[in-house]
Amino acid sequence: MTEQRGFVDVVREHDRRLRALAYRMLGDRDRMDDVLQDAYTSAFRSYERFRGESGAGTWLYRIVYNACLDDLRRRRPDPVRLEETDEVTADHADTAAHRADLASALASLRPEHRAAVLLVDADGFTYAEAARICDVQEGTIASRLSEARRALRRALSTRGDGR
Amino acid sequence: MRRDDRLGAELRRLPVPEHREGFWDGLGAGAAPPPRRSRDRLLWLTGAAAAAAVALVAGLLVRTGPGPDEGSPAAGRDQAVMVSGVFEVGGAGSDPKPWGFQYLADGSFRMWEHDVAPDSMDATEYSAPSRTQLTLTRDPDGTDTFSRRSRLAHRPATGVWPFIDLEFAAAVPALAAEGDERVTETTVDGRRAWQLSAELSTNEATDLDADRLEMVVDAETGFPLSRVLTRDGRVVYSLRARASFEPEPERREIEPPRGVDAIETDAGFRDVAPGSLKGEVAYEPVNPSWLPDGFALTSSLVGEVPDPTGPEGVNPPMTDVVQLTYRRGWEAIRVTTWLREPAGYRPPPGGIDWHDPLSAGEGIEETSARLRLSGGALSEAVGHSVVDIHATPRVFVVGEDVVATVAGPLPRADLVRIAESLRGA
Repeated sequence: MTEQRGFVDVVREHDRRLRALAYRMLGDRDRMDDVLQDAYTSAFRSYERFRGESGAGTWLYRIVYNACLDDLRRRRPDPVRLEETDEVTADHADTAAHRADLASALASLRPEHRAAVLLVDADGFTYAEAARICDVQEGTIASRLSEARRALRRALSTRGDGR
Repeated sequence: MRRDDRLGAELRRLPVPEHREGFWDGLGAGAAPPPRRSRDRLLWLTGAAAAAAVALVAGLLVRTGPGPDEGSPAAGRDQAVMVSGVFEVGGAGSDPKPWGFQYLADGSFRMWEHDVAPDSMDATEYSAPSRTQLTLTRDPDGTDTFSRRSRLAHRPATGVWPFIDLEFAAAVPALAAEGDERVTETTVDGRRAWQLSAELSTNEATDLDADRLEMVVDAETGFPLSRVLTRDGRVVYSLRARASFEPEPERREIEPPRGVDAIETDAGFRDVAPGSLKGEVAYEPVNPSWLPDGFALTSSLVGEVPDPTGPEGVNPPMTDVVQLTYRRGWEAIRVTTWLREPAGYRPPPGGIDWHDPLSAGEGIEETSARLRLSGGALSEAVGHSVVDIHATPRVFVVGEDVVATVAGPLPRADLVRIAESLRGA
C-alpha cells in the first residue's frame, strides 16, 4: 500500500509536465494519452525495482520520453499538427498568436530537440539529468539545445515585450 | 551550464491538453491515481481533501515581516536590505512592467511582480547563505504554480527572468576604471554613477536585436540603475530602477503555496573550507594572495558533478572544480579552477581545445586580449582577458594542470594581478 501511494504521489507531482512533454513530442492529445497510459502502467509495474539512484521524477521522465520515441518510431511519421485547446481560444488574440508561433516553431524541431529544450528550459533539469533521461551524452544535449533555442528564439524575437 | 529561463517560461505557458475522460480509469486499479477532480491544479496537491487543498493554494506567497536582526547583530547586519525599490521593465510597444526587488548585504535578493495579487505573482528569491534560489511562475489563468528550488554555485546572473540580467552591470565600473571613453561620470538622486553609452554588435541569435546600449550603474555599490537597448533609436528593451539605498526595516519572504512541490535541482557543489581543499581535487588548490580592498571570502566550494561548459557546452565535462567567491556588497569576484585533463576522459588527438567557460556564446562577439601569466602558481598559463559590455569581466587561462577563470567587476590589470597572485592553498 505504501508503494502504491508513493507511486501515486510521483505521478501526481509530474503529470502536468509529462503531459506537456508527451503532447509536444507527439502533437496529438489521443496519442499523448495512449502513450502516458502505457508509460504510467509500465512505471508502476517497475516501481518496486526503482532504487532511487536517480530522482523519481527523472526516472519517470525517462520512461515517458522513451515511450514517446517508441510511439514515433512505430507510427508512420506525419507532421506534428497543432490542436487548439480551450486555453488558446479563450486567450487574447495577440497572446494566442504568439503562442501559436512558438508552438509551431517547437513542432518543426526534431522530437529529440523538442525534448531537450522542454526538459532543460521548461522543466528545469540540468544537462546531466536531461542526458540521463534521453540516454545521450551531455554534449549531445548541449548541441540539441543550441539548435532548438536558435529556432525558438527566432519565433520569439518579434515579441520584444519585456517578458 | 546555461538555462534559458525566459524561453522556459514561454514554453511552460503553452497550453497543455487535459487527459481525456476516463484516463485514470483506463490505467487499471493497480496503477491509477484517484480520479482527477476538476482541474489540473488538484494534481499539484498532495492533500486528501480537494476542497481543503484548493484553499491551501491561495495560501501566502509573499509576506512581509521583521528582519532576522533579533539576537544576532552579525546576521542582522549581513541580512539587512542594502538596496530596494522597483524595476520598471518594458520592451517595444509595451508598457513598462514593475518588479519589486530587495537586495541584501549578504548577497541574497528577492524579486516579485509588483502590483499583482500575492497568489498569482511570479517571484524569485536567492539565499546567499544556502546558495538556493526559489522561483515561482504562475500560469496566466492562475490555476498552476510552477516552482523550482535550485541549489547553485553562486548568485545567478539573473532573477528567474533573463530580461532582468543584472550581471551586465559588472562591466561598467571595469570599463570606467580603464578610462573607456564610452563611460562617463554622472549623478543619480545625488549619488555618483557611471553611465555607459555603447554601440552594439549582435546577430539574430540574440534575444534582442539592438544596435545601442545605455546603462547606468551606482558608483559606490556597483548596483545597476538602468539598462536601455535601442534599435534605430527605438527602445526595444528598458530596465529602470527606482532604487532606495536606505536600509528598510521590512523584508520580503517568498514561499511557494502550500501543496505546491518545487522541482529540486542541484548544481552539485558543496562547501569546503579553504584550508581543507587539499586532497579534494586532483591538483593543488590555489587561492589569490591579492584582492582589491574590501573583498572578503564568502564561499569556498568543490563541484562534484561533471558539467560541460563553454559556449553551447563545447568543453568536455569539467571535473575537480574549486570555486572561491569574494564579495564586497553587491560586487563579487569568483576564482574557479578545473582539472585540465578530466578524469576518465579520452582527449582527442592534439589535446582538448578548451574554450572560455564564461563565454557569452551564441553569436555574441566579445573583445578579448591574449595573455600569458607571468607569476604565481599558474605562471606561463595562456589564455585571454575579456572586459566587454556583454559579460562579467574575466581572465581565462589554461595552465599545465589546471584551467582557471577569475571574474569580477574589475579592470583588466586587476584581474590579471589576481590571477598572477594565485598561490597554493
